[in-house]
Amino acid sequence: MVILLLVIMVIIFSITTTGFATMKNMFNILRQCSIMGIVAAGMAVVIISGGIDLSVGTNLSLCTVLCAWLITKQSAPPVVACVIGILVTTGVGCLNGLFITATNMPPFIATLAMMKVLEGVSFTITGGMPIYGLPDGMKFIGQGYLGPIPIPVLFLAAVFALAHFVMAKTYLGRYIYAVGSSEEVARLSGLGTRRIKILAYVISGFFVGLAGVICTARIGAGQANAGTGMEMDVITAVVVGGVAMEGGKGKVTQVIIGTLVMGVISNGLGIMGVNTYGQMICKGVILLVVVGINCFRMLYANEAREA
Amino acid sequence: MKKTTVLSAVGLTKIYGGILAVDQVSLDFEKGEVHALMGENGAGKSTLVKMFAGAVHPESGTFVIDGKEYSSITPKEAKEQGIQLIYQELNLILPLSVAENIYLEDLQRQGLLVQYREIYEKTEALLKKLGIEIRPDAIVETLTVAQKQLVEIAKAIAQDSRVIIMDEPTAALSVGEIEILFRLIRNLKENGVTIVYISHRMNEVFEITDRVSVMRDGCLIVTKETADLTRDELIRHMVGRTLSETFPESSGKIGEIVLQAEHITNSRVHDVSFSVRKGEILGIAGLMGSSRTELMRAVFGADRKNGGRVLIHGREVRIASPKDAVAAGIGLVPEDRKLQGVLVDLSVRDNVVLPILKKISKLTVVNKKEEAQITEKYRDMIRIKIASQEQSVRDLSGGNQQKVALGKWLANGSRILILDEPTRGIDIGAKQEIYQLIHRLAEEGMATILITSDMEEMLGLADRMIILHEGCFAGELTSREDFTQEKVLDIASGRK
Repeated sequence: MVILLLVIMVIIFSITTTGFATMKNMFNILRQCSIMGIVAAGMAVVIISGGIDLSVGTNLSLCTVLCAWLITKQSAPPVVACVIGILVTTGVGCLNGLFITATNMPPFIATLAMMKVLEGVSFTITGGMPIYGLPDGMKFIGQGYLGPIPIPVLFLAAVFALAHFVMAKTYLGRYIYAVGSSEEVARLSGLGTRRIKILAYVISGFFVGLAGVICTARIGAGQANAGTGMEMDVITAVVVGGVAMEGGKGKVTQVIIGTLVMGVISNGLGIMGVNTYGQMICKGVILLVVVGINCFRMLYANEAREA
Repeated sequence: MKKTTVLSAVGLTKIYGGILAVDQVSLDFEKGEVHALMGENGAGKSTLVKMFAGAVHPESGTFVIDGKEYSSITPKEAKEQGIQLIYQELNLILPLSVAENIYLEDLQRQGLLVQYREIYEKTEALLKKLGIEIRPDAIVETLTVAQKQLVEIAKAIAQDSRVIIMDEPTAALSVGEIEILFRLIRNLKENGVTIVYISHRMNEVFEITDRVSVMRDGCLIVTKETADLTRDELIRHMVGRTLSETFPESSGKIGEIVLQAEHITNSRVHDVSFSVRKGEILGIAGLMGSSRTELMRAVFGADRKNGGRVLIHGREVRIASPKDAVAAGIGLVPEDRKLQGVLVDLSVRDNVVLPILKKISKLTVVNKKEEAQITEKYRDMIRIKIASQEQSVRDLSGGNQQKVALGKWLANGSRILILDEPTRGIDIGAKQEIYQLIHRLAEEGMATILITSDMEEMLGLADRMIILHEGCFAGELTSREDFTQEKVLDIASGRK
């Protein structure tokens, strides 16, 4: 379904524009959506587990700020700074999971609160100013190439491979599907549902950390607004990729397609000269249409089953 | 007395996805009769009554209401004609009060502000007339399932219904509450209201109905006076073959004590102790509200225990969560299959191997071959009828879903099974299979704890019975000779 949409979009952009259908541009698209894609892989895991993580955007901002601050202000070696950044985002994910499972509060609210807290922390550290002055070696992660392939794209591929492996091959992934499908059934089947839910947020936090490191390297700075508003784009990609908001349904491999759809729209419309505002309209319409069709088909299938 | 027809179906047909759900059904309902609609799950009963209520539109055929012909009917028209369908899954608005629910449709006519005093008074009078003891201002959410059921019926009556269709109204009711319902039905009948009564329970049909219509595979098989029918005949019409509603003989090999629960106490259960032996089927009897389910949930670790302990093979086992219980070899098949028993969105295989996934994984990677073999083994053993292991559980019949819920514990090697209403909402053929399965497992040494509201099932299956009354131990019947409905009810109602 969604892959059809992707193919149609690629064909249309290939015919109507020059410069879209080149190898260089293809890698360009992948590079442009790599940060969002890595975060989307984690978001997919959380949504499949029956939750949602609104804190990914500001968690990513915090990661860029922390990395840049540690390197420039505390003269930490870049590798150490990056590891600390990833540990912090993973810890944030763990905290999200702990709050949600300990109090049974809605994930939407818990992560909304976390989103605000993290935003505040980042702006407190930076005072609203970007932190510049990263070494060139660090920038390689975000801006370098291995042969024709941009480094962030390699990360994107690795993250999706890992997420797919966990969700499709391991018992942990199956547990996450089970909990997302029905927490009560999973619990009564003897699964430790709390730990499973926490694990989903930890995975999300870890991927946010990876994306944060790449983002820092790519913009060459730590910025408190680097990931502002990103959560909604990420959720869009995940949902367009066929993951159901109620949990338990969807595949990581489909989320790649969802991410690419978003990347292709931005890139193709950009080449056609459509500005960001026009692109927003287009993305919104695609989200409505894709999810609308999916839900309508479900409704029809359910009616047929009632017989 | 001359009989007048209030509602007729003439050649009603409904097709779902190429399948004839209802096939050319013509049927008359008379004024003031209680008319049973019977048939196995998927026979088309629910689809048929939904057409009467305007919720589903027929492909062809017509309705005749009071001699006037309609080719299709909207839910609003059905209401105006006084046809009320009480759905299995109740249609009440939970955060509102009983009175608001009953007079929901009148509220908009009262202007902007709800006239609470007026609707409370009307509701109080209505409930009193019907002999239902529920406060008009009680919030529906706080009521028991049985009380909600009664509120639904009161609502239908308040709207001056002429035809009330009840889809398995007693599925969640206890014996005492069924009595209240039957009194209501007789009352309605005297006032000329027609009741269409869908049920799987033979006893009820013979007790309360005047005529019976049987459907099978979307067709109407027969309509007869209830008095002219025998039980066996009725079953034969339903399944299309001879099948008796009987219980297998107990083999009687009962071994040592496997599970002992001592002084189990929490907010709903007060100091209850019991034990179950290898190969024994222990029945937990009691009326609705006797906390049978709550007792077993506490033993299983699904609900908090404030006191008491569980011993397995004489050794105390700490059970603080279902995870502990499962590790100790206990399996629970819960009362609400779809919400608690099976993951409806996932495949049969995913469901069956769920408790053992970790065990059949190496370095976290699930062994797909082993997974498929185990699923196949239990699919054969308990005869789960599926096209493939990947089939979604949602698409299975109730009986097959229940087998999946049971199969996962067999796959887990559980030696103690708690079955809570194992045949609720399951058709008669599948019921038989479940009974035989329960027996076979007991013969193989399974210690089984059975909760059921179906008295026949309880008397037919249990080797021994303990009876609860409002969360307390009320009595025990140790030999099958003592098993009579009267004795159980006597103890269960706290009289003794």
